[in-house]
Amino acid sequence: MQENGNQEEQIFSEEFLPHADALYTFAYHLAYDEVRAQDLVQETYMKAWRFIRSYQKGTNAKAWLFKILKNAFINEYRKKSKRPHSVDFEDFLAYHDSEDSSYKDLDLNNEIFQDMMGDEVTKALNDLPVNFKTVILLCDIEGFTYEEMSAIIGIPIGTIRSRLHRARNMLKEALEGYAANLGYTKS
Amino acid sequence: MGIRIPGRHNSNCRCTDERVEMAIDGALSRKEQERFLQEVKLCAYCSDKYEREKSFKQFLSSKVSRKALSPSFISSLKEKIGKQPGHHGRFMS
Ligand SMILES: [Zn+2]
Repeated sequence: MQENGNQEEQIFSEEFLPHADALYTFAYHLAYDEVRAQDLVQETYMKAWRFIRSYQKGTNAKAWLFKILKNAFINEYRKKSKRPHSVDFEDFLAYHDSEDSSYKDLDLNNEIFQDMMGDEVTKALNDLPVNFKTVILLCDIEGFTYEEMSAIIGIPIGTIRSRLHRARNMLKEALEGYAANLGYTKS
Repeated sequence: MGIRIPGRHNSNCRCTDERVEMAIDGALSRKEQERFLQEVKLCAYCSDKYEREKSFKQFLSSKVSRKALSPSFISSLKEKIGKQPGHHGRFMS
């Protein structure tokens, strides 16, 4: 029994805790609030500890933890928006994924984008609807594969890809709008 | 082998927006990625798109802020875990 406990502590320290900052970054961008983000990270680790026996040592701890955090956030989001639990969140959003296969371009060579502060890009990202923001964070910031994202969010890979495509288009549009406000117009 | 015309696909081009995105996201197999990198060179439209998409991904990765938790947050987290049922006291490290 003691040996099991030590092994679980080892998994927690060596496989779970190294992802704390990545989880915090993800939580912060989802909630856009440091205190709520820290609460989400804490809740994630408490749950991870409670269910540590269902985790297989040496498998994908990072994806497992991100899934717990994403679910904790969605539960909180549902409570706040009073969305009925019977409506599946992902089904509800899937409708919006089917549109827009166009390709949006952004001229990053313009120095206005290179000079953009992280805060401005972060703000544009945080203004995206949560499901679009999530795929950008998982793919472009954390480097998860389509398969891992599919497991974390619980949607098919095809939906991940179309959602990512749309999310990038939306973000480019937002950044372009931001640049236009600063006086830059696309030639 | 076709002629490179800026702003348009090479007539033999097999690249799609989807394939370009899969390439930048590392979703192609090694063999597919190698073939893609060879083929994309032959189409000005696609090679331009590939470079721009790659830059955009790097741009996001470099600009979006990363957060770091304080050591005291981690200590207090370990303390809380230590008090959980099924745990036997202090955390080992
Ligand atoms: Zn092409």
